[in-house]
Amino acid sequence: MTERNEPITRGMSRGALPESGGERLKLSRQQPCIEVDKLNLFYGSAQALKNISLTIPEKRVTAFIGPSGCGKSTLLRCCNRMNDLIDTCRIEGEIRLDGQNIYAPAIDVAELRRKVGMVFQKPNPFPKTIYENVAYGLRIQGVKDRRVLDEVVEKSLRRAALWDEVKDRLDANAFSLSGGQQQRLVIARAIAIEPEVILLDEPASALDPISTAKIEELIFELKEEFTIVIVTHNMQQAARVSDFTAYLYLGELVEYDDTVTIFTNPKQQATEDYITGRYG
Amino acid sequence: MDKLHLDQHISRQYNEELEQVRNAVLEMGQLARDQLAGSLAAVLAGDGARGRELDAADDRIDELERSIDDEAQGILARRQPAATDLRLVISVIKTITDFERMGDEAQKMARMAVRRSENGQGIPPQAEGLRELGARVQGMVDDTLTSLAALDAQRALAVCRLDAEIDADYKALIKASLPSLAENPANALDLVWAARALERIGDHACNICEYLIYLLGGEDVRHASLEDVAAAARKARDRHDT
Repeated sequence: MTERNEPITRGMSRGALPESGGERLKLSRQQPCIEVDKLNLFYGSAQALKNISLTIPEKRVTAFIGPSGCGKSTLLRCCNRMNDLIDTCRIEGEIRLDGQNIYAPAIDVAELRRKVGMVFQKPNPFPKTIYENVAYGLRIQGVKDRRVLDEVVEKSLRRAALWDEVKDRLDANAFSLSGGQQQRLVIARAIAIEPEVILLDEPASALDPISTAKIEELIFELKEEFTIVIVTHNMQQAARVSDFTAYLYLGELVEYDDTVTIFTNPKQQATEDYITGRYG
Repeated sequence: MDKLHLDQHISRQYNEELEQVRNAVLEMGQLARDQLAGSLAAVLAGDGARGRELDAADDRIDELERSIDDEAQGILARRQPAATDLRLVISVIKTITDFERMGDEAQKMARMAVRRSENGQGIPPQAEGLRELGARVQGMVDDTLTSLAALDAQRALAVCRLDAEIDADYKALIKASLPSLAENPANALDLVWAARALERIGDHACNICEYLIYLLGGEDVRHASLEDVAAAARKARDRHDT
């Protein structure tokens, strides 16, 4: 009985009422982590992002929503310069991480991606053991001390809510895990190197509802320590997991506000039409 | 004309579900309104037979309350509505509670007409005052229904403004009945109960208008000052009428 009640009491202790009822989270009162400043992005001559400015707050979950092709994934990828890999891609404007422009010439992109980790739609573990997947980041940083590695692997798997399921088979191949477990493994791998920001690109869209719920619960836990940015085409998921939501349409930022406001009383008709399933 | 754009969902089925619920609420409101008009007339005319009919008619209002709640619950579960759709469902759930209570208050008057006729008590004292208060409350309920049908925040605001006047009329009527309390307590108490029922119906009408302003503008105006309600109603109008 107590066990069944536990999630309910846990939900209550999160202070949902004081925060959303009494006083909603306000964007203007957040500590900035990433500042996107007048960002334009072109693929060849086609403009994919148009003059985007927004501030992603620290240790909160920010969701980008919008129809296919609106630029939400492109914007996400700009935050750790994944778009550099596309030859025709050209960027104007700035993205600052902790006040520093990540597109400045002096920036070490590998170091940037260590600070800004990324998880994709399809789980992409390496063809190695569970243990080696999580230890990978540290190994390429040159860490060899087995004790340190053991510690980090355990801590990361615990933080990714996967430890109890894999602790007895750390030497098993990562591909022996289910899709949902693989995705949590990939998140464990990302957090093992202590990034500041985790970018999640449709992290649960290939998962069943229970695995999805586990990922969403994990996101809630992770924002204690990390800044999370998530792209999702599942609006209910954005509503459930995020503190702030940005709606993009045709490469433009239409509206950006706290998630409760976006889903109960958005200011823009275009946002309203999208989240309520109307043809705008 | 549809300010809520209820007909513009990609899912036509969803359009129909929301429209159905809205129509059912209007039907329920109309029944509560008729219940009020009939019960008041029965009390004022000392018409026991009419009172009996109206007493039974309250069942239909209760039935509608249950079926609308059921429908609203289904929409919440299956559609997970957001923004205007969410506010519509929430305001519907709240509105029908107030309509149901309006029906209950009217039913009290209908039963009073039955009892008074059975006891040969005839027309209550201060009938003129009661008639006037009844007519004003009736007007409020009519305007509430019109506001709901037309999604008219300004008209809803006007109903909220009237509430204070109704309260004052109610108090004056009670005061006027006090001298007769000693000589005919049963009569005087009936007047007090009938006036009280009317005043409560006015409160319910005002509540429903507040939910409408919330639906249209997104601002919760319960327990707010009249100025704040007016500001919210203006915002709601500007949002929908531009």
